[in-house]
Amino acid sequence: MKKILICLLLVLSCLFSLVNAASKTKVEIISWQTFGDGGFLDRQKEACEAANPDIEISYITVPSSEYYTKLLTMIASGSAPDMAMLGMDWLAPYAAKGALLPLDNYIEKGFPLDDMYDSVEECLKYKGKYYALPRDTTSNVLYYNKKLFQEAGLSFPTENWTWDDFLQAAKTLTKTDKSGRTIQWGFFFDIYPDGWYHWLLSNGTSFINQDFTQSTMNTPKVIETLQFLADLKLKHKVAPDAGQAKELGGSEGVFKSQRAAMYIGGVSRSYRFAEVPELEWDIAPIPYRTAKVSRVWSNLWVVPKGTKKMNAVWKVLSFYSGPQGQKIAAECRYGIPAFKSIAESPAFLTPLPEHKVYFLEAFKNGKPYPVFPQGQEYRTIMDRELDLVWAGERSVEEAARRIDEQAAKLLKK
Amino acid sequence: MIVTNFFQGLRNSLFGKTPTQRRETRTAWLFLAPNLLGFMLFTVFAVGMAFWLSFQEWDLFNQSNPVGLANYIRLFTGDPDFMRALYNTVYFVIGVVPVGAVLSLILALLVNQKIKGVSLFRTALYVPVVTPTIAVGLIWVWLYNSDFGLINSFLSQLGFSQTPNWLTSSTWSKPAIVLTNIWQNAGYYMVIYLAALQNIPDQLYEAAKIDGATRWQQFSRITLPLLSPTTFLVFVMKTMGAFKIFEAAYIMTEGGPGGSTETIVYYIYKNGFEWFRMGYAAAIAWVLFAIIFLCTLFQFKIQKTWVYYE
Repeated sequence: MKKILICLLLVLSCLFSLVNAASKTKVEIISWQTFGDGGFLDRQKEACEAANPDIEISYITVPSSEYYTKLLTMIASGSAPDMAMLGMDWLAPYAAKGALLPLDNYIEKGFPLDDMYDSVEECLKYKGKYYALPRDTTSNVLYYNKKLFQEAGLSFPTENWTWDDFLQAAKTLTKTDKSGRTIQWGFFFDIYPDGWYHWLLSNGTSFINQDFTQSTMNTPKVIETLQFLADLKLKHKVAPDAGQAKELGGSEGVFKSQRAAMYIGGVSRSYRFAEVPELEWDIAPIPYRTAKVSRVWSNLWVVPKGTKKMNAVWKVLSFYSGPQGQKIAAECRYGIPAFKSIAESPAFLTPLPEHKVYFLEAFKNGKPYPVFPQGQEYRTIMDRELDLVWAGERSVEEAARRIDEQAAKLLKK
Repeated sequence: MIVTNFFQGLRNSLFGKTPTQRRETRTAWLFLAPNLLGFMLFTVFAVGMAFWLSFQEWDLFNQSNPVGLANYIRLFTGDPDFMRALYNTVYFVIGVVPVGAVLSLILALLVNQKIKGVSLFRTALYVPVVTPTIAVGLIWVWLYNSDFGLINSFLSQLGFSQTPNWLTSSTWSKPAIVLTNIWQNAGYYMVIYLAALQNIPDQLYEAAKIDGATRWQQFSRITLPLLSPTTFLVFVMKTMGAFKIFEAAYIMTEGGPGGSTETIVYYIYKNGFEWFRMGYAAAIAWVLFAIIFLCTLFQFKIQKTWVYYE
């Protein structure tokens, strides 16, 4: 008798959970960020499900090295997830192929775009249409090690720091040991395009024209900028050359271990640097030559075309990217909230560093990193040529000329 | 009549002539079925699809368009990047195969001695084979460090004042990848050689000793000839492997600097998965297949001249 009762109970509970599950719409999200560790993804899911009891969110995590291959094959085989994380440099390639759902109709129904910095809003568009909402955003600032500046008898960088001021300081901050080996670098920069693009902006230029039809590497201002950067490595030796850079553990390690006094990057670094108690650091606007402009980068949420539950997906998307979701991310020390009202509130501004507000100032004159359908291939061309510049094997002029030449074929298509 | 004969012949060779034979072969086919089905589905079918794709233009998102031979024409006439990838790959094959084979043989001879703890050495030498290439790549990035890397500090101890920037100079990046690849695969081919070495009958050596042969004579007159089928196998397999080098370059140099370590497989990956040109990627893959096929065919043709079968 008891057994029968237990069986009945089991069957009933199974049925219940079935009914329960059936009444919920499942939304599947793919990301390269892990979940299940109490991070912002977990908290956003929890809050979003609480606000929308009819929705059940599930995550797929793919390591960032395989992420875009996986997403691509999922879309191509017709099993696309409902929502996907996307670095902004992939927005144009995907949107141009018609792989993403335009969101204009949904945004019109009410999404607080007016509370965003213009430069952030710009990151969401391709050819005038919205294809994404922000996961979070960031501008670039100059990180500097206060202790090393004081030791060298230098005053801290200011808003009016020019390239020359920067170079002088970098020289003073570079130290070598008796054998001539550098033990402390004035500056460190990553050699991938986004590791130095802001220098072009601060000289009032870019590597591509406004409508992405022509590569502009072989123009005086770009060449001047690249020469300045190459000189940092090869002539003044205030930044590690390509070989040395590889062994210093990247920008995060080299600044944390106080072997480089300055670094330019986005907000995620500040959360890493804050983990090191003995590190005394602050931020300043990036040094300029002709324009006080910083680069803006947003990581995005997009909806691959073909989802049949857009109503539910929009609820999730607008929650994650909306004020509530952005506030959660800020509290989890993740990126900069895309909304002015949250970014300028204590939720973002309270923890280190002292002059955190410079991140937000940078948005006002900020410009998004250039994204266009052939962006990935253009980057490969650029990397191939500039690798040789950083290694001292090729002149800036020749590399610039060769990049423009190859890009002409690519951008024509 | 010819057709019927042909089918009869086919049936006889596939399923056997007598009823008993047929029953037995049927069982054999049943046992083979799972493997064959998987092979058909995941290899033959996929390869066939790729062949069809190589005549298409397909971006993975939208319908594909037939473009005839355009992909192949572009490949051979208008793509310097492919030519560079081809050059790099051939460089790797030439760099990896002979040196790697000789090294594996030497290692096999060493661990074929009757010394204490030899299985420990064998295991140690085999470990790189089972280590994922990603981990191998990361470790070698450290070894190649220009200032603090093990290799360069060793070189400067030896008295070299100028040590190479292994992974960031376009002169040294290729030798660096070759070295890593040889190191990683040496253990695998060592085991193959070891098995072959242990198959050589002891009497041959004993007889040689009685006749007063030196150790070198024993090696060159007995060991090497008897190993030649194995050497042939090692060469064929190493060549195929070297043509497909991808991960090491992907992890250690990302094809750089200046495209000096971009291989064909790396270029296939870039085209297919980053630049959305699946049709073109498929065409490159087929060309790579043709190259490997021809190389292997050539190796089979010339084996008569040097491979000694007992």
